[in-house]
Amino acid sequence: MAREFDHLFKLLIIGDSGVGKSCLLLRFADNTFSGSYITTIGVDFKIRTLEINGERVKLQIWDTAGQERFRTITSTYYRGTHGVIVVYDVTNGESFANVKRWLHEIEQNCDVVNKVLVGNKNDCPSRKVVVTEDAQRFANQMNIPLFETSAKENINVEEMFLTITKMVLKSKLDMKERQNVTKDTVHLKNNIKTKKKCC
Amino acid sequence: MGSRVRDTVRFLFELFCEVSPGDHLREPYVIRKYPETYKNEEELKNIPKFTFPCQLENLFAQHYSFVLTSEDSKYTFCFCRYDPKANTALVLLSHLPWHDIFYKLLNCIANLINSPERGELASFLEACRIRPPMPGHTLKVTYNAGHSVFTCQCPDNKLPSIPENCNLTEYFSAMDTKCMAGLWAALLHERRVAIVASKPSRLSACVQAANATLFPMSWQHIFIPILPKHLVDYLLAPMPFLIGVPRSVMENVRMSEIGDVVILDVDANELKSPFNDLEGLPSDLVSSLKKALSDKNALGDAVSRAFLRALVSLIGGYRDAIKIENGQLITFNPDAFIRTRKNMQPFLTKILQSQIFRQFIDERLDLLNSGRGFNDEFEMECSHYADKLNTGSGQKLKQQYRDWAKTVKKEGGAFFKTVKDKANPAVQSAVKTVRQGGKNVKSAVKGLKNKIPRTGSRPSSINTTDDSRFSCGSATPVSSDSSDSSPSNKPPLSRPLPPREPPPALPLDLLTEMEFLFDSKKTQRRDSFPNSSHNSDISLPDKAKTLSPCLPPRLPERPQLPVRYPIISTRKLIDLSDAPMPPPRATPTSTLQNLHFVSNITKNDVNTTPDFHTTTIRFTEGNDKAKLKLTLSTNQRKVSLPTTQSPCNGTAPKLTVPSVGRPSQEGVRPRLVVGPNAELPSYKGKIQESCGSDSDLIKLDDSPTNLEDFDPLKCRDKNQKVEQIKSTDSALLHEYGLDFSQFGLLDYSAGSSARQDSNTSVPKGWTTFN
Repeated sequence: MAREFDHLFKLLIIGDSGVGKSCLLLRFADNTFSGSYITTIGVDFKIRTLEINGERVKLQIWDTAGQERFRTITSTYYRGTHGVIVVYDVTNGESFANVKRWLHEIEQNCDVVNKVLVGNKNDCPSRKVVVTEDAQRFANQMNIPLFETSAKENINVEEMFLTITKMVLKSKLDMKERQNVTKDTVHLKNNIKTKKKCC
Repeated sequence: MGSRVRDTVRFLFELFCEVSPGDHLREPYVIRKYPETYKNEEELKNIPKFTFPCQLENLFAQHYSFVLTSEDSKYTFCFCRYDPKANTALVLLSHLPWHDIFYKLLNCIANLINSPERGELASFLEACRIRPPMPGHTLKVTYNAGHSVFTCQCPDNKLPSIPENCNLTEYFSAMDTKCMAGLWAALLHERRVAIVASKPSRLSACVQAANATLFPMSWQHIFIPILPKHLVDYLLAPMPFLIGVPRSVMENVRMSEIGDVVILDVDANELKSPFNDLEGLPSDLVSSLKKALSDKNALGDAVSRAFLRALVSLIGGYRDAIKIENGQLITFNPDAFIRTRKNMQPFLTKILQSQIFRQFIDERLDLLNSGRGFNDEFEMECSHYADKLNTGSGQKLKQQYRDWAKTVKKEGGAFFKTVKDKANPAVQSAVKTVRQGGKNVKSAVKGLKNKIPRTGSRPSSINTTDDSRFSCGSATPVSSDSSDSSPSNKPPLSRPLPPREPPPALPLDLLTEMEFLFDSKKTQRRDSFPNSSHNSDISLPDKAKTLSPCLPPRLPERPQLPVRYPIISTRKLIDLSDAPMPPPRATPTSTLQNLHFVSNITKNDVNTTPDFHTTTIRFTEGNDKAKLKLTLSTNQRKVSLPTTQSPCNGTAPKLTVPSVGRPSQEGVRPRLVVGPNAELPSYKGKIQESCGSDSDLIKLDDSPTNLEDFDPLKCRDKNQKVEQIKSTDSALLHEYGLDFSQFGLLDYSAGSSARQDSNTSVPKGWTTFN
């Protein structure tokens, strides 16, 4: 059976409640008809299939309820994921503070995870409190891309998801390449070993 | 914070419904529900599918439960009883995880439905759908023409035991030692865990019991005890989960897609794990755990204690990693933690990276920094463990915390306030409610300020109404006085009843509590309330003298009764002798008297039998047709001295409206009435509201781990929260038949909340009193 995609990536979206995570997902996802279960079982996911450089990528983006109760989100949470979308609300300074703490935690304790920083609700300049410069400085310092989006006005949402998908795809391909190299090396070594044995 | 059980629970259960499994043409659907007005559409939409998560092929009635998780990650527990004969399931939704109690209640409901008295169902449900009993209290509802009785006692904080705890009993009988230990290790490593069984009853019991083995920690990730088939894709979640999967649902899962999942097959008694979690734990720990679990005849809490001891030997050293420095926020030092146990460094490093442990630590720090302290079975085991090793760490921490708290005392308790503001966001959010309470206190005092001069300018009848209202078990005199001493809150100038004794200062009280940090001995605790006994010195005759003239003028002021008075209006019927039976839906006057009457009985009971108190309320519905007897009884097990009783337990019956009608009874037991300026003022607001009602709003602990009787400050906090909720929900009060408009409080929203909150300000006031 031919698979309908070449890659399946699982992404997480994290951020305080109220920063617009579910709106971002709804904007982006294919399966908006499937309903939301975040208020029923505390977890929800949305699916979208993309094509990047001729490769069909299926994205699952997962969201869980009540993350703001965690001072730190520990590494076990990210263990099975390929990428993390970290969302704050540009009109809410506290949500940005949480995000900074979480990102530091990821940096310290998690293996390489692809991440993007997203400032959502960027559609009302008068209410904006997290200025772009601050966010950008922080993003540069953490070496991650920053997107200021508006799920409401559909600004920058597509670009953001595309970017994280490309990042994940690239790191997967890179890793594959590296593995091939190591495999070859191992192979060689094995050969040598066998040879030695033979001798 | 750590716990995902809701803090504030209004009702024993939220909703009852009967669900049909539907057929090949129709999906499962709700046949009927109580209350009819229940509005949570999201829940109503999902209940049928969760109730029938798969085909149920059982010949016998079975109990199972599922859990819904709200957006704030709090649990709603749904208890089901499926009867194949009726081919429907009875479902109760509650915020309380009291499995055994709700399964029993479901049986009562099923009995009632199958009996000729089935017309009583609505009244029975109405009688049960009240505030849950507080610790040490028992709720009894008689039905079926007095032939059957439903009894419900608030579970204590003991460890789950066999055979009382049905979940643990089922789990323990179904699984062997290796599976239980292996699953426990997988949960500690926060794996993606699926438990598979064919019967939903066994499935939900095992999931719940497995989660309980983590105590004092609790699962922080996705938690779905029974996964309905339409949600099977959620097994693909990349983050940790604990999901119970019915076998028929599991058959639809392509195992290749779900990746590294730990699967416990309950029916086959088999654990499949791609990891070696158990092997990563110290072998002596694992072998002693396995040994303790291998006794298949284990009864009581032996199984729970085996897991608890294993956890103590793993993480009990956290106490040595708690950094207490005077005048500083109490913090946790991860490096010190890793050094606490030899030969376990790799595991301790790992568990530091788990959410369950981090939440546990954050919760503990929060309790320490807010001055509440804690004590539970885990801490006791830690103490034993430390004693065995002779490290004396338990004593050290206790001493340090005492010193720390003394410093706090010197600073006048303001530290706690600043601590909360400086604390990390998690702590901040945890104390948000408390802080909110503080804010309310301010506004409350303001409201009080405004209110009292106003009442003073009113006609004398209203004025006395206010007086009597204050003394209706209320703390108003004290609270206004205490707000006096608080620098930020200027007190009202005139006070109805000045306190006769200065209330104890908060830091003193706090220290009292510190004495008992990590100390389980109740006797000591009692001793440490030296001021509690003399606080009750205000004798009832004294109070009655002041009050009795005030009551009559109030009567004409009372507005119309609210339409529904499900419980209280019948409380008038309380009498153990069954003698007085005024009509149930009474005039305002008689209701008030009845309230007084109730309180009298209650008080009297407390007096004569201080350690066991029973009040029988005959519940009469409509025209006296269905006779449901509702019995509230208070088991005051611990204490003989009423003032040292745990606030949650004892004060409700004591602090009630002084009766005008029965002065003789008051004479009987004057000493036991807590006067308006006595200790524990913050409860008085509560009592005032609960006049005659033992079943007040219950506020569950943040964590199930805290012994109810340990911590007076904590209870106070709880009650503060309770107050807030109550004050914002006058409708609820109506439903309980508590209409404060009768007491001259016409403006609920402003006035009553202000007044109630002013009661809660007392502890703050204490802080600065000396």
